[in-house]
Amino acid sequence: MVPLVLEAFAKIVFMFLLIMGFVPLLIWAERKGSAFIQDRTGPNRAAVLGIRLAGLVHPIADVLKLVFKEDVVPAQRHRFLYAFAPMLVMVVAMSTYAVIPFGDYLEIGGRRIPLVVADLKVGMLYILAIASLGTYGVALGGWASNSKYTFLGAMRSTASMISYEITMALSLLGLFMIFGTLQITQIVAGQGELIWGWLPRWGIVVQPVGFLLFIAAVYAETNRTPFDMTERDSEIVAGYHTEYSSLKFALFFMAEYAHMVVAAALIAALFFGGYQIPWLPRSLLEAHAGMLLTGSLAAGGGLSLVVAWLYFRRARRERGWYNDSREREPGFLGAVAALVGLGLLGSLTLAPWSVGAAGASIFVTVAQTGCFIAKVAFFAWLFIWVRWTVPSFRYDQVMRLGWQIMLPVGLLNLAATAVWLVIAHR
Amino acid sequence: MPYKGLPEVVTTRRRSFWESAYFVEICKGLAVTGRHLLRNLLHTGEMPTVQYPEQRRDYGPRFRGRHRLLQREDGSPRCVACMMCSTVCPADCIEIVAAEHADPAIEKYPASFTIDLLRCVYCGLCEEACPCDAIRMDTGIYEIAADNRQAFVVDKDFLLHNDKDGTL
Amino acid sequence: METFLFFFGGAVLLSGGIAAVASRSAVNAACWLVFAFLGAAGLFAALHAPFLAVLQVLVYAGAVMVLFLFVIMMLEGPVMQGESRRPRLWLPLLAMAPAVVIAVVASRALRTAAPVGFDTVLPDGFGQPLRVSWLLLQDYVFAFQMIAILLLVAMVGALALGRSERKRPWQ
Repeated sequence: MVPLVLEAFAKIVFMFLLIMGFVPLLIWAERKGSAFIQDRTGPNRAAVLGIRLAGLVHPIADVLKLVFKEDVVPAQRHRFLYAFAPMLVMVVAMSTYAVIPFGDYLEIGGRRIPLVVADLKVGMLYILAIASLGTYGVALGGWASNSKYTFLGAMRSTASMISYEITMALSLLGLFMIFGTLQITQIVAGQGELIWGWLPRWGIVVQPVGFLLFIAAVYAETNRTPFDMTERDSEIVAGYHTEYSSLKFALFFMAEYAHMVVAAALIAALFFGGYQIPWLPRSLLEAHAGMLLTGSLAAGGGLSLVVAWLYFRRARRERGWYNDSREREPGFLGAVAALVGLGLLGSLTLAPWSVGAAGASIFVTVAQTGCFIAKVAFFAWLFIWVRWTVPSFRYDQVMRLGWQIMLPVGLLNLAATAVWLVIAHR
Repeated sequence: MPYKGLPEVVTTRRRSFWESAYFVEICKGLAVTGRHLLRNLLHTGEMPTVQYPEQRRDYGPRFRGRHRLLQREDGSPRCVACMMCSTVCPADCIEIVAAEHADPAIEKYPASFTIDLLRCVYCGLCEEACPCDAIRMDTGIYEIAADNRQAFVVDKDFLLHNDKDGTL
Repeated sequence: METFLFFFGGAVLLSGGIAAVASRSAVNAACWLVFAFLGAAGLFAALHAPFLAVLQVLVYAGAVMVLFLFVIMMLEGPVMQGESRRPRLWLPLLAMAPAVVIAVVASRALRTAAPVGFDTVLPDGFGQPLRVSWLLLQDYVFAFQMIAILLLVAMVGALALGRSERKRPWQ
């Protein structure tokens, strides 16, 4: 009982840190990425002892600012709901992760630990249910602020979330039918197989239409461009969180990015094989764990040394640019990269080619979790990329797209999948 | 054309199926933005952004910055308090109090000469109106900052010895 | 565990229900109703029916009540008639009452060895998606389809009634 609780606790902490680590990174990527897309430099000023990390220090400065800011509240607000809404949004965003697996299982000392916080039989429905509760945070927050703009934002978000929840569920039904389960761990495990010996049986391969519908619905659910009518600046100021400030605003702001990470993790888990590394099944990874570990250590060490060399070159080139502590930055980063590289190469002397069974299991877990995180990072970046590419839809266009195009297409996709399954299993 | 003289009705081109299906078009757009992103990632130094406090853009010699009053050889202001500049000033920001000059050839001199830099619109009309080239805006100073309004009202002494840094 | 979930869910359900009936503003009532639905979901979970529990949240709390809230907000608008000014103290007390009663009952029930009848042997796959869908789409498929048609008729009727005065097809 005690080890079980400890295990669950460790997994929860890991997931929590994963999300909370992703949030500032995404805020940074949003700013820097949008800047580079628009030929700007982006944030590069905030520094700790001259170390700027290409603007990564800015989220820290943001947090400090939001913590110490005055909490301005509207006088005619609904007292309880106004304070409750941002909490609800954050709770919903965080609790969705419970059923998303970030790895297969870890085998240590004869214990097999599944790498998912809660492996519910109705996993996907749980996510849909929790996500549908997220509407309340936005709707009640907008209503409780007692302002026209927040109210309009809340109405819009409620309308779009109701409309696209149906499409979201419909687009996933085909996937459930093919894998025959609602359990996310089983869906991910099913995607480890190969079709015709070379094509990974990923969700996008077996359900391409479902994937397109799902990604569009998820963008609408997270209120990201092109479906960002809940907080369109030119029309309704900042939408539902216009009247929020300080930490309450910070919760809404972080929840938006946490939602993006959930959505990205869902896309990765349901349609892109989750933690599965394509063409490298678990058995293969375990069999060659020592060799792969040695190879990746050597590659990582070499790469770090190259990065260190690049930084040292930049340090020499940029001498005398700023005449302050910022000049130390490239040298410092180069030193860190060189230390990491030397450490990785030095660890080769510890004979990583002869790892035991437990070592192989840990290696597989690290590799698979890394693969999952990489996929999540890509899809989270896709959110940002799309936002700075596509203009947003008008309200009526969003509604028409949801009800008149995506809903029928989802139904047709469902019917086609059913027919195909019946024919294929005959 | 049913009605003559009215402008022709602009009809939008009918979108093809793939265009109205959005996804292909969105992918094309992603390619465009992705190209920009990659180019800027790989050539960070070539970005047109000026890293302002460290780097500065060169302004032309005609750039109108903060005003200065020119001096005669003996250090007294060249201004003869003719009020041309304060008359022509559209923002009404120059205030001159004239006084009798000891030298009868000069007639008058400004007992006080203040400019409210917050009201000034930097149009340069005072420069052009001045008959004896006493006021110029060629300092090139454009960083004008202070923490109270009174500091922006600058007097004769300040304008005669206009130093190059932006502090008031 | 089930006993605890049962009493907790029951307390939430009853308190939420009473508060929903007693609250003066419609939005508050809707929020309390959502709270009550979450309690009902807890009861389903206690009955080993996670599928029903999730559906309760997904359909009732997540979809139906959001629509209700949407309509209420549309009609009421963002202006509150000062109901947050004078909090009525007896309301939370009244809502607490079933919780207290249940706590008393629960403390007695938990002390006895075999509390409530949770020792019934459940059929295999009880409350799981497959079993529920089997019931809906095989055993009671006629009733299920009839309900669907009834709802469709109701929706068409609502649309017909809701159309503006001039455009009624029979006039």
